[in-house]
Amino acid sequence: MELNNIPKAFSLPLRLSLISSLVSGGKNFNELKNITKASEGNISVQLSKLENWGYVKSKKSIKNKKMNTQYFITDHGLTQLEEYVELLENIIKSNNN
Amino acid sequence: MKSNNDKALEQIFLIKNVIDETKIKWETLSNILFYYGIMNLIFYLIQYGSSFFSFHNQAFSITELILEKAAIIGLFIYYMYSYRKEKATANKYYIGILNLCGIILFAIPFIMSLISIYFILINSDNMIKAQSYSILINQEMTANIILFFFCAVICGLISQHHGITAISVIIMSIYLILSSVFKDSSLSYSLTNSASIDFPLYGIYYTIVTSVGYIVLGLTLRKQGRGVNGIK
Repeated sequence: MELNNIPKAFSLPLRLSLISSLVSGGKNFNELKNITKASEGNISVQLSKLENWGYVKSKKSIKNKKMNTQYFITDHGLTQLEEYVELLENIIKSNNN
Repeated sequence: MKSNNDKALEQIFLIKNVIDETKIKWETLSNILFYYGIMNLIFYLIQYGSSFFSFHNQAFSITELILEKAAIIGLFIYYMYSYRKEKATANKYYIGILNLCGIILFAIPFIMSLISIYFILINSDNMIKAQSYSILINQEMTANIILFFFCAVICGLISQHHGITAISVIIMSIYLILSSVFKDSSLSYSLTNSASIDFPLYGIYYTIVTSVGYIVLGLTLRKQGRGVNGIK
């Protein structure tokens, strides 16, 4: 990953927050809303994009007779996030040298 | 206009803060369970050892009781210190689980000890005292096994390790069978030609569960935590 080809998934703080919050495990919509403090519409749109790009996957189940959707980070999403963190660390290290 | 360095720092902090806030720090909970198990194991070994070597006199019993209570207080202080540290950064669900485990490991046994002391003090007849004490010990043991069961179920649910939940059901069932159907079964150890000690089977099982059981629970959570928590 280079500075001039950072994936769109990391171009917005909300997208980065959503991906980062899924690192520790699956979360439902309300949990993501509590963590990111963003509006429902915005979260919904960004999750949809992240899913299309393969960073996030969703799993639907029925809990207490209600549909419950859990979001998880994919292996691709995790790998990309690791690479992105490495890139950021390299930028900081090279600026400090 | 922000430099690349500033932007990079901002992004790193964002990622770090979100991960810290959402990460379940299994380490704290696993350490508390592990040390609780170790503490119990040490005191059970001392109690069994003193029976084997026949130096179980009143002074020894009092010293052992004081040391045991001091160890529990020490572990409670460690729990409170860890809890305060976690409260600043951990999510509310994990804090709730820490609260629950604190109640199970410390508050309920403490209340049961107070009740035991109360019943012993209010009875003046030594025979009634001895009987009350015996009944209370048995009830306390059953209650502690049930508490272990709840602790294991909670750990199984939060770590999504269904094996823990299943095993805890089996553990409790075995104890209930041993303490009811086989309550008179015991292992006998001969000290001399004329003297022997009897260890009730359910008592031995109880000491194993409430010591080794908590140690295994702590180690399992620690291992589970390494698998769940993201970037290595």
